[in-house]
Amino acid sequence: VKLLLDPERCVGHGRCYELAPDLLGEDERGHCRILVSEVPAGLERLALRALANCPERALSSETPSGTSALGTTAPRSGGAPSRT
Amino acid sequence: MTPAENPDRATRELDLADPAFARRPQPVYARLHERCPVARATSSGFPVIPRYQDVLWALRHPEVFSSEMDVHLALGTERPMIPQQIDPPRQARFRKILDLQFSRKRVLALEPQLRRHARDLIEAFVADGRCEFMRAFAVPYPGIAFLRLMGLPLADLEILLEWKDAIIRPPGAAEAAAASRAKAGKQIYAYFERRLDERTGAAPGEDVLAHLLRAEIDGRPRTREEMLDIWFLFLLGGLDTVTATLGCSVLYLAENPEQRRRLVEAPERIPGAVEELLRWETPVMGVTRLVTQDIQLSGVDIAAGQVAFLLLGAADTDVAEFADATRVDFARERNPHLAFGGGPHRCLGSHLARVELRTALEELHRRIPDHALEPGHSPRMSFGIRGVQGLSLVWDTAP
Repeated sequence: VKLLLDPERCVGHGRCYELAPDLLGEDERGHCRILVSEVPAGLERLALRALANCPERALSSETPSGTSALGTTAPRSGGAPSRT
Repeated sequence: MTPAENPDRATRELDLADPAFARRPQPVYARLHERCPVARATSSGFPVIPRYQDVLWALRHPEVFSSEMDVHLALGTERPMIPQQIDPPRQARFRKILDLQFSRKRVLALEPQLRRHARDLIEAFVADGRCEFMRAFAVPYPGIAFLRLMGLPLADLEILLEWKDAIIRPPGAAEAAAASRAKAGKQIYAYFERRLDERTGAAPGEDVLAHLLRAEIDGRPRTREEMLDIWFLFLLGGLDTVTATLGCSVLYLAENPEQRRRLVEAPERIPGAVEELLRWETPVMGVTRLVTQDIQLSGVDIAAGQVAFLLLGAADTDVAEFADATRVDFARERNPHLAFGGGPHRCLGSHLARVELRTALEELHRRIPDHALEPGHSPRMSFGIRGVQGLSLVWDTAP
């Protein structure tokens, strides 16, 4: 599993690096920094947990089979905002 | 059905001022999720947004859901508070500087000092077998933490609390409330003006105010007004929200002994409990935003010019977002709650709040593992920020 960060979405909640301090750290503002992008064997579940707790959906994961949808919850059907 | 809700209306109304709603909002949130993607506030008719995905979208799009509103909606202030009441890109320039002072790294360095304060406060009442928890702990603990961090005299706590309360929970009806706010606002400006004068040219310090005095915005020093507008927000944010969160959290634990025992048996569960209680209680029930353009959320039209209330508490109990949303689970695997808001205005003090909440629950339950509500006591809560109005706890002091 590979961890990907969208720095435009991160606003520094800090949930990820509190949950997985071996994989994710903080910059001086408290925004996320990926320490280990290739998640070592045995830490996959922790990595996915850190990712799933980000309220901004700033983290995603990539497996050999493609980008995971975990942590990027799809909007409810009919619930996607639209301008009128 | 509760009086907080009128199910006969095609567009559901929500009486935000109903005391029963502030005290136990979760059942009302659940009914909103069942049948009402956008509610209306009874008093103002303004839209109330309950769904997680809608709230998150609004928080992340300040160009549509703006924090820049007329001063009449402000809290005794003469100008917008910085950075809460201004939007990006200007807001981002302030956050860049302020984030440094409130990062997790910086607040973790304060933990030993905070823990000592928590212990001292608890030792003062532990032998009594009872306390009014708000006055004995939930008010002074975040207050002391705030003054230490800011480098303000601890003796100023009483008067700062008085002004803060006059603004957040003013007495009487609208007119009296506005007068109370305006008066306290002037006193707060005058207080910070005085402190600012004392600091100008003074020896450099390491507290937050000293750092801000040295900081620059776009290569220039901040103006005096900007400094006051930042401090005003610190005061309102630093002295009320953690107090309310401690009240909500400890009240929950007093009423749910089996949950409290989980924390007493295994204190390593406390960080998870802090997050779950933030989600379940969401002490800051919602935030307001000015709708700048016509928009549709969950199929409901919302016209530009209205003030929308983003119901963070409802978002945090949305069954479409959280597995088993009405269950309080301290070991919850996935909990991306919005108790601190989200998007560019994410609560600046969230890391400080977490350290205060964790140390408070650890020290409290280490010394007083078996507290309960005083028999017959039924605490009340204020709307908006769910401040507990008196929390009488009792416990066994026999060895």
